[in-house]
Amino acid sequence: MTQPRQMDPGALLQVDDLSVRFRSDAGVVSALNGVSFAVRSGETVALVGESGSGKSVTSLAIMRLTPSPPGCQVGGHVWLRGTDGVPLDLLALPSEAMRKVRGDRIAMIFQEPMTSLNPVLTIGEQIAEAIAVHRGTARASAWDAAGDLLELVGIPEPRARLATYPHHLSGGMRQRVMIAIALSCDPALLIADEPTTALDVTVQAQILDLLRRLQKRTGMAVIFITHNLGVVAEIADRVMVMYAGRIVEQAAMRTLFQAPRMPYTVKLMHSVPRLQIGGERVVLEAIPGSVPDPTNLPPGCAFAPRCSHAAEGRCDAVSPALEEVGAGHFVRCVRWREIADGVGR
Amino acid sequence: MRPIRRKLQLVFQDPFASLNPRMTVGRIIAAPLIIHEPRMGQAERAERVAEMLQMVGLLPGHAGRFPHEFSGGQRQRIGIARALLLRPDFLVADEPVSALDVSIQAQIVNLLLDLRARFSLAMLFISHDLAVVGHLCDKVAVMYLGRMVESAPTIELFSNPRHPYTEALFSAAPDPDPDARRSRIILSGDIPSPINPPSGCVFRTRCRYALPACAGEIPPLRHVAPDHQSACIRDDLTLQPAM
Repeated sequence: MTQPRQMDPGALLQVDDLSVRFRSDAGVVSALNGVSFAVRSGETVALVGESGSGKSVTSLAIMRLTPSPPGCQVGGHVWLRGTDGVPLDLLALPSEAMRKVRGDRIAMIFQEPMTSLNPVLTIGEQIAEAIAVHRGTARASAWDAAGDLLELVGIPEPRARLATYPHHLSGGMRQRVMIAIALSCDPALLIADEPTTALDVTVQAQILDLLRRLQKRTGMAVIFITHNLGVVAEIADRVMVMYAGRIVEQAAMRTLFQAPRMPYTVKLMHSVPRLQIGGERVVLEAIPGSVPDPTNLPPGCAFAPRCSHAAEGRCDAVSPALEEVGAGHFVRCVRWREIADGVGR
Repeated sequence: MRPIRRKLQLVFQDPFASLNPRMTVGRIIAAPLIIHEPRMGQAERAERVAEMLQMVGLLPGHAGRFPHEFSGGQRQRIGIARALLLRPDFLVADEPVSALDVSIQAQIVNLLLDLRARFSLAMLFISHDLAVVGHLCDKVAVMYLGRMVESAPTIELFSNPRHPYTEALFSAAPDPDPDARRSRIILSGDIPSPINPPSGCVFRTRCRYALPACAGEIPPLRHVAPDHQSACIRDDLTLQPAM
């Protein structure tokens, strides 16, 4: 058993140099390349990025839900503070102990509420199962607790709904059921992987509001995975921007929106149209090209081929380190100083 | 109908499902020509395809490749090339950017704007993303449960919404500006089942301004200003604009 490295005393979860590689017919896919971050109790951290940037793989690796070797190799460390305050090395935990962590200390909700519930079990059974497994509660009282949870997540007539099946419910209601299951064991950390992407705009607002209220009430930490910058502005305390399996910028939410330093973050913000009245119709600043092939990442900065600031011989030579720009603000760009001073272009 | 279809074309939401994986890109894009201009020679057809590929930002050499060799954004460009090959007058774009990554969405929106101007296309743009709608469209019609509840020129609709559902939609859209503090209207409940819609106004079950009278008749879409129609009986409301 590895000795726990110094874990940040305020951290609930600490990820150190996490890397994930998949073996595929096309070669080795470097899905995550040395991702490090910490999450404190009660805070909401948003993981933002496009498809293939590694946000979902990060959450799966934390939960140890990636495929087993040799198809998939996971490296690095994931420390989670246990109920007794002692750090657990999740990647080294025996699978039996890990199963106790999943759903109990760390819970997860997924993008597709339609496919994450079991269609042949009533929602009451699905919520009660989590409670019975982790708490050893008798079926009858677990069923009662399930009713309370449905009430907590705002489902009308909660006790009557326990006996219904997922197909009786709308997408928004199913996501509420997923949240109820996730909250059933009072987790210290909730990982929400694009929980509102499949929902209508008005229902999305309901679910975000619900998550915010529940977090205030339970004090859990939330890792919120999304590609929607609007949702980030709405819910996050801190933001980590991912690109090609790396964190390329990390900052407090307001700092990130007001003074983004990584060219990718800046471009991403400019490429999203704002909801506004009239004004001249500006051409959206699209980012040219597309996300690099993960089996064949460029040698230097992975964003360099699409970056208007890229300097030959520097950006395409070595992969930039994560540099501290300000308090708690980190960026992975060799030219951030020049760009900030306005000589970048 | 078939001769009229060459004037009406469609771009689909899912660029992965709307291209035949067994056909080359050249064959996919040429399909409208094969159907509508069967007498056209192969060389001319290839030329038209090459020209169209360039117009949507791809290379003529891409004609020989298969859809799986392209990314989502590139596939959407192929779908657009196919739709525009016959120079239609009217293009229906059914959520053409919803399935794409954020950084790619802007590329496709810009491409559609450019092609619309170049071919003086009329476009019906179907979307749930109000920011994109505001960016791209001249007029907007808002639908709810199978009915049009409001319609107006974009600027008029965004600055002076007259239907409570439109107001709620604006309010629910997450804004990528943490300082844009607005009072948020959170609608309760879900969209009702279309099998058994509520009586009267279909939105009344979630509307914070609903009156008993809303359960009576289905409110007709009527003019509330020149060029601005709304299906709500409450003329006394002052609703929050988009921003």
